[in-house]
Parts: sequence; C-alpha cells; structure tokens
Amino acid sequence: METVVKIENLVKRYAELVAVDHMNLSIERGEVFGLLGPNGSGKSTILNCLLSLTHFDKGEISIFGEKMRADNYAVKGRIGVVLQNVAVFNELTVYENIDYFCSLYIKDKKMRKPLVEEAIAFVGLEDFVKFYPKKLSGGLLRRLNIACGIAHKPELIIFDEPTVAVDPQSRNKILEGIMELNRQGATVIYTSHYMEEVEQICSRIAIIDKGQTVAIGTKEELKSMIQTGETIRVEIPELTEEVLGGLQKLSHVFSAEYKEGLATIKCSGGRHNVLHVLEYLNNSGTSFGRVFAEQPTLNDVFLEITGKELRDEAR
Amino acid sequence: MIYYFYRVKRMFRNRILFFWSIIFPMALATLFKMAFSSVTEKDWAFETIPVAVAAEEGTKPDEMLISFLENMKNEGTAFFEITETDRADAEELLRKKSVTAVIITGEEPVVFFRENGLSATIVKTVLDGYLQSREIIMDAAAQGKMAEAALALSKDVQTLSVRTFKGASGDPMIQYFQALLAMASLYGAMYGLLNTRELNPLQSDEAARRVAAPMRKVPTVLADVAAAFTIQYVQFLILIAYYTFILRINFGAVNGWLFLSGAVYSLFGVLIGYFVGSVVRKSDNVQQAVMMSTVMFSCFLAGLMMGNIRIEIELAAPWVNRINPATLIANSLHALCVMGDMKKYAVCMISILVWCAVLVFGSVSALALYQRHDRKGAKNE
Repeated sequence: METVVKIENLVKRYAELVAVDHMNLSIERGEVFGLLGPNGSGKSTILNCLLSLTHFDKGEISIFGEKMRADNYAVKGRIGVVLQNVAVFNELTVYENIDYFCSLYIKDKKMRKPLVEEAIAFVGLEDFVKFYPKKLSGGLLRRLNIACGIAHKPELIIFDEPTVAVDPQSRNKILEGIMELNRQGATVIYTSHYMEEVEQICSRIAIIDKGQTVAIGTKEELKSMIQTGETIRVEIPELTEEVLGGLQKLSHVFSAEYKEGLATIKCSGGRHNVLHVLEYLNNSGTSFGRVFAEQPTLNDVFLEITGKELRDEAR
Repeated sequence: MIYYFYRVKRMFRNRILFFWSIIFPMALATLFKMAFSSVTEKDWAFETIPVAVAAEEGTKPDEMLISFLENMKNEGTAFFEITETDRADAEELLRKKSVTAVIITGEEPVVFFRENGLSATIVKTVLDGYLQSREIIMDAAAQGKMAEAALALSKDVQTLSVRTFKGASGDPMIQYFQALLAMASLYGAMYGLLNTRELNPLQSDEAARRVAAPMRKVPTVLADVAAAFTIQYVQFLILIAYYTFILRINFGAVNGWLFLSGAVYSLFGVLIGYFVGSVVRKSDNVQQAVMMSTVMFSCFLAGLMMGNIRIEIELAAPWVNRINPATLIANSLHALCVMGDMKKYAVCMISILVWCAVLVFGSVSALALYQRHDRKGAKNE
C-alpha cells in the first residue's frame, strides 16, 4: 500500500505549550483516517502543520512521498481542505465561491466549469447556485464549505470537524458524502471530537491527547486494547454492600459500582454477561428495573488510556 | 487574472466598504455643499482685498511693503485696499471684519486672518513673495550683485502673479472638499486591511484556504493590491465626477495631473491599510478601530472638521503638515488646483511617495518579523 501522509517525530510549540509532542503517523492511500481527541488536544495544529499553514519546531512531514513545504505547490495542488469554520466569501454567490476556490488550483476556465458543476451536484446545491451565503441555512453553508474544498478533485482531502453545529440530517448527508468521496478514490483525514462519527466512517483512528498519539488502529483494534468488553447498567432502588461485592466476584466482571440507584458493571469480554448478572440479582433477592448493555465505545478506550472522559471534554 | 477579477467583484459587492468609501464621502460633500452654498457663491468673484498694515511697536512702518502691496494689480484692479494704522486699530478692524487680514510689519512680518479662504491665501502668498524678494535684494546688496538680483526678482514676481490666479478656485470652502477627498482616499485603507486579513492563515479561515492552495505569494499579493487599488481609484474618479458635475464644486484647474494624483492617493490609502493590518496583529475590530481613528485624526488635522486648523498647525508645528497623510493630499490638491503651484505640488507628491515606500517597507518587515516569531514558536495562537 502507498503511504500518502507520513509524519515523523513532529513537535510544535506555542511558547511554553507543547501542542504537538513527538508525533508519528502514517496514512495509507484509500483510508478514511480519523484523528479523535478532545478540544485542544492538538488535532487542528497537526493539520496546520500538515498543510504548511504554520511552522513546526521539529520533525518531518511527507505527503505523496515528497517533503511538505509551504512552496511545494505540486503537492498542495493534490490536497483539498474543508475547514472547521465555514470559509467562504459572503460577497460571492454559491457558484462563484466554488469557482473561486477551484480557480486557486485550476486556472483554465473550461476545465474548471464541469468540476464546479459536479461539486455543486455532489453536495446538492443545484437550487442555490445564485444564492449568497447569507441566505443559506447552516447545513447548506457546510455543504458549500465542502464543495469549495473538493471541487478540484483532490487525492487527499482533509476535513477538520466539518459537522460542528450541524443538524442531524445535514450531518448524515455530509458523512455520506465523505464516504462517497472515499469510494471515488480520495484518501480522507477526518478530525472530530464526536466519537460516533469517527466510529461510523473511519477505517483507522488515532486517538490524540496533549499532542500525542495515545492509541492508533481500527476501531476494533482500539477496543481490544482495553479491558472493558461490555458495560452493563442496571437500575436498582436498593443495593446492599454484600450484593455489590458478590457482583464484583462474578466471572468476567472486573468492576462494579453503585451510585444513585444505578449499578454499573464492567465486564472484560466473555458471553452471556447480562444473563449472569441478572441471575445473580434474582438469586440474591434484589429487585431491579431497566437493564442496559453496551459494547465499549471509543470514549471507554480514551477513558481507560488517559483516565479522563473524551465526551466530557468534547461537549 | 481570474483571481484579480474575483477580488474586484468581492470588494465592489462589499456593502460596508462601499458605504464608507463612497456613499459616506458623497453624503458628507452634499451636506457641506448645502451648508456652504451661500458662502461660496458670494466669494467666487474676485474682489479687492482689504488689508490693514501696522508697524510693530517701536518700529517704523515698512513703506517698501506698503508700496509693494498698493502697486499689485490684477487686470487694472488693485489686489489690496491698504489701511495704514497702528496695531490696536488694525486688530479692531479685523474683529469688525472691515479687513480680511492684518499685517504687522517689523523684522519678521506677521499676518493675521479673519478667516481662511482664497483671500487669506493670496495675502499669505504675496507676503511670502515679498519677503523672499527682500531677502534676495539684501543678499545681493551685501555681495554687490544687484543686476542678478533684479533678474531673479522679476522672475519671481512673474511666477507670483501666475501662481495666484492660474485656474484658481475662489471658493473659500474648497479646503473642506479637499480634506473630504483626502478622507475618501485614505478610506482605501479599508481595502488594504481586508487584504491583509486574507494573507495570514492563522488570522482567517479564508486565508488558510488560500495558503493551503498552490498559490505563489508574490502574484497573489500583487493581485490583491491591484484589485484594491482599482476599486479605490474608480471610487476616487466617481467622487470627483460627483463633486464637479452634480454638486458643481469648483475645484479650480482640473487636469491630467489630478487623475495621476488620484492614482497615487488611492495607492497611498490602500498601503496604509496594509501597514495597519501587518503591524497590528489583533482582532478585526481592533484593527478597524486603529485604522479608522488614524484616518479620522489625520483628516481632522487636515481641516475636515475645522477649516483653519491647517494654518494653525503650520504656524505652531509645520512638520505635522509635512508628514500628515491627509494634509499632504489636501495640500497637493490645493497646490495643483487652486494655486497652480507645481513646486509645492511636487513636494507634496514626493512626500506621499516616500510615505508609500515607508508603508511597503514597514508592512513587509512586520510580516517577516511575525513569520520569524511564528517559526520560533513564540507566538500564541
């Protein structure tokens, strides 16, 4: 497989703050690679370094086998960028915005025209080509933002949190679009602090914290790195210490907690864990209400590795 | 080229910039015109200027000056109606508006005006000419070169008479419109400022998108400057047309030099914006506040709000008038269109061009400095 992006020993400091700390990363052609981490973890800084938008202190970045520099225009021409904030011009119409940003990559108007039209169709903005951005809803604006970044048909597309503040319908449309671009051959780097999205579309994920890669792999590989195989939550009005101790001793259970009428039991894999837990509660004469069983999430992975909640910091 | 055209299109469609750079100066000019119309019409025709001449206490009256002033004529009409009196009386006459100016003779003659305007300008110019001539004669007498002095003097007197009336506008309120035109030109800074915001990828997402694209820096910046200049210059021409044909403001001698000057003023304004954007690395609002307050203060010193402030500054701190951007523009317009004084015009224009060079150097240096700062990792994002 061809390596599209290679980051070696990357260090970026802002005064005393180390934003990226000796990071190594390799992204292969055809991947949808997710960078997952809470706000301030260094995701956007990594992208800024990758795109030569900012200087870095140490390390090397190669893209398409070439060293990435601010003046490497050949490489830049093969990259598309969709930034976190909508970066379009209010004075230009939808069509003009896409044409303008496409013109930064493709000078020939005749070549550009079909590409612009294709991008408009891709994001479903055919009915809005003459609209100015101020007249568009948040979701449509996000789609315009994407069209501006992909119209020139880049081989590598970087999406920096493209679904922030987007309604669920537009979010799904955006995620489907990204998957479609990937199917058409583009390699995608996708940063987000929404783990559900990353789980949904990324073939490989790097979990970032404090500018470091704390874990990397497919979602299955990441989940297998942690002890938690299944989390069971049971509503119990009253639970004695004795019963809680008994729960902790069940096979595959490695932790059991009781708080505010809810028992949280974490199991390290195994089968029929829910059945075993409920059998034990029945046998001990403990009455219980609703039962929830969850497979481990990337938040569990983040929690176990870093000792803090990804979700809490992210939202 | 596509890049340049889109830039022009964007700037043209920017309603806020459009308002400030063209609608606002037009509206202000219309208000000025309405407020000043009665005054200007009255003063357009040339009339003999009443001047009181008094000797400084303890000195004799300067008979040579009085004779010089009395003999100055324009097509048979005397320039000045001279009243010889003492200082107290002269000041009383000025207060009662019986005279336009009071000249106190002595070793260093001083002139006081009732109000600013063409009459005051004529008195000041004639007095300056007289003093220069006197200097030449005294030097020549000391060196025994009276013949050369006479020749130099005759040339100077000719220049003086041409300078005073060539295409002159008799509108005493013209200085407000000149200051207004200076303000409109300096509002080009808004376009320059807008451009700098799209240069730094850490300052705006649009800039990030541009920098991430395979665009070479120098052509991009040049296209930006060219677009800002185009818009600003077109607006300058529209303003001149509006002032001349709609408001019927008599600018005096409007010729090719004015259009060339407009191009320089437009570039000057745009470069001020670049300089503010490059040096002040703060939020959009802070940059705009700095830029607007700088421009308005400069225009205030040029006489936009107080007509005679330029003369006051000239007397108290003349160097301010030599470096203040709006004053340089207003003075060059005055020299070109009212006075026909090409020497003074050239000095003003050279000063503006020097300013332009300083602004380019300052902007490039500031950008390079910040870039180095960023490279060292010492900058907070």
